[in-house]
Amino acid sequence: MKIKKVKQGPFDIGVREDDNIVLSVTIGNAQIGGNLVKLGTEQLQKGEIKNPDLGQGKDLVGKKLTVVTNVLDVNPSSNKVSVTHLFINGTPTVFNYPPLAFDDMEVDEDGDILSLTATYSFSKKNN
Amino acid sequence: MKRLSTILLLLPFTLQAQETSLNNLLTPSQPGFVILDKSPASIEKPTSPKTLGISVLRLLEENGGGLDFSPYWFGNHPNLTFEKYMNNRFPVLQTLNVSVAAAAGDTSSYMSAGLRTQLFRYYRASELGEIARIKADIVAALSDDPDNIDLDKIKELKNELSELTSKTTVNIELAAAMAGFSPDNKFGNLGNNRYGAWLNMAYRPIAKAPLHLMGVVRYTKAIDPLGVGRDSSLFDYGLAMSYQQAKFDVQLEFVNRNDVQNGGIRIDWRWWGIIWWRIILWW
Repeated sequence: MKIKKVKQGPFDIGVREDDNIVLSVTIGNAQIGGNLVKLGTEQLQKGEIKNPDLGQGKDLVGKKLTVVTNVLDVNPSSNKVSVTHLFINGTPTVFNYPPLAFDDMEVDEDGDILSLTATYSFSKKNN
Repeated sequence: MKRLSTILLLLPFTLQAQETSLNNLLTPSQPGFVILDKSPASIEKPTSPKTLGISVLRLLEENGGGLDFSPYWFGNHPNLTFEKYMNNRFPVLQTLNVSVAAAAGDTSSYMSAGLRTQLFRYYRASELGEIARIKADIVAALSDDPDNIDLDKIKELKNELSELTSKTTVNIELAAAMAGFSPDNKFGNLGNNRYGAWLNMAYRPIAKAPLHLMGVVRYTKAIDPLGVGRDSSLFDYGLAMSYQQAKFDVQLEFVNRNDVQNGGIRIDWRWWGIIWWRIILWW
């Protein structure tokens, strides 16, 4: 059982000051994953991430969000790992891992773990 | 001084015309190889269209070998969560497996292809609940810094999960395969030499009891490629029941074979059973 580490970002997310920013993480390919979400150094959420409110845009601007998603390959038919980070009220809204032809999101064998660390920084969106 | 002794009592019984086993009728995991009655020396397992292309080229270059792949999993399925997958009762595409084999000699060559899939799968609500509980434990164990993940615990949970997911309440599998023979090594002269289909139905009627019921059906047709021998067309079916515990075990099996080529007459059959139990003596 091995852990493969993949780092992505930092990616910029535009937010309006008065909007609530909500995060959702989806693990695809019938695999199982757990998450660790940090805003700066403060831990916000652990476990399955289903629409937790990260806060209002004005409180997030200039801050760095780290989403660690660890996926265990439990699917005997595929070693591919698919993770989607969805930011409701953020621009862009969806971050897919992998994008097309991104071979890094694959483990060597059944039972291995892929650890994706994606970082995001929030900036003010004017309109 | 107390001593423990174990005695196994076996009561096998068999009524049969010839030797036909239910195991031979089970849906093969790689029907494309089974239809040829031999496994290729090398089997490639491509996981993408690109690696499939490379594997096909290698198969042609080396004049033989095997391919075993699941086309559905060539791509990514970002919205297919573990829950959706487990709750899908008709995972026909997701479990579709393709096996292809080729063997070329100096004067003749064979080629075969087979498909296998799970037509229907059903878990009881209590079993899905147990799977969800283990999944929640795995999620909790994974929700940490990667350097702090307890790999031993994850491995144990994954093994538990694999065991649970393998125990379907109802499982119906289908497989089919065909093989061609070319007497002069020319692809254009490849003729259908043999084909077959398998259907298995497995049922666990009681959640906590180790009782398993199974029904199997197989049809095979073999055509003599050179036209000097007889063709054969066989329809086999079988039923099996097993109840296995540490101290007590019953297995019953019935298999029947009919020759379709000759009006469907029964040409082979077998009743087979075994009962054993363990007696523990103390003195």
